[in-house]
Amino acid sequence: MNPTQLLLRSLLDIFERFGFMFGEMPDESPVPPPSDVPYLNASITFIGELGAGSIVLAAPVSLCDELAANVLGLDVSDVVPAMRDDAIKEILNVTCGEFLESSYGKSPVFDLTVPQMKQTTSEELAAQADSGLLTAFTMEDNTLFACVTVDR
Amino acid sequence: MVINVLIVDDSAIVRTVLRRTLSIAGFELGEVLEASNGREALALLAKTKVDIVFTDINMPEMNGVEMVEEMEQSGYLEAFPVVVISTERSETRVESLKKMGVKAYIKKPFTPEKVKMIVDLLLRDKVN
Repeated sequence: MNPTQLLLRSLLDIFERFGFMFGEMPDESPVPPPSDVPYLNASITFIGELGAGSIVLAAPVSLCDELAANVLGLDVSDVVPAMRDDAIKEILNVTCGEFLESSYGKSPVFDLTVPQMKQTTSEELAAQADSGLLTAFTMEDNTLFACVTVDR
Repeated sequence: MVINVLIVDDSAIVRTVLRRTLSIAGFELGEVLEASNGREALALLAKTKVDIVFTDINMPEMNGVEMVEEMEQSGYLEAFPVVVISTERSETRVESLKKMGVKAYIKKPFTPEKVKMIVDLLLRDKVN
């Protein structure tokens, strides 16, 4: 598997185990870009003896609300922005650990940064996906975007 | 047995989930203290006694490894059993933390069964 496939496999696994949400690996056909959908774009970087790089995950705000509600056992209407931010950052944090283990094994030490986040738009993400910078995949009928870069 | 715990994680959602997991696992919780980084945790430990400290590694200000190092130097590590709960999975790092005196390591995402098993072992050690 290449790094992107490993990342997507890790994401699907962690969404399922941490968030009780189910997704699918992308197929050959391009995912239609959503329009007018606000997204949260989370990123994390890692550095270690065998490599360094970063992972980006972008998910619709509404899916982040559902994720936080699932994790906390709340109704979606009770989710506040801090909860959704925390939820998507934690998914990325745990995914990064799983990705590094599946890529490099259990021995090497990596230092991870605290995940950073910003709001973005579906149009901006779709443009990045069109140019190959992001890979789209599906989670609970939502389109998410992700990418991993390995510097060395 | 009522247990008092300190949960150290920069994610409020993880702190809430761990607190709930401990309840689901059947532990009677007394005081549940929370800190969002190692520095806050050390300040709490200076004035409060707890039975177990659960800590993440990857945190701002002072991370979990730095906190454990400070606890080792100040003698807190002998007084307070520390369980690391983290996404970082390197066996090299886990071994290094255990050599320092960390009692156990749990990978995220954690399950109630795993948390119960570890806490049961720590409480049994404490009683003996």
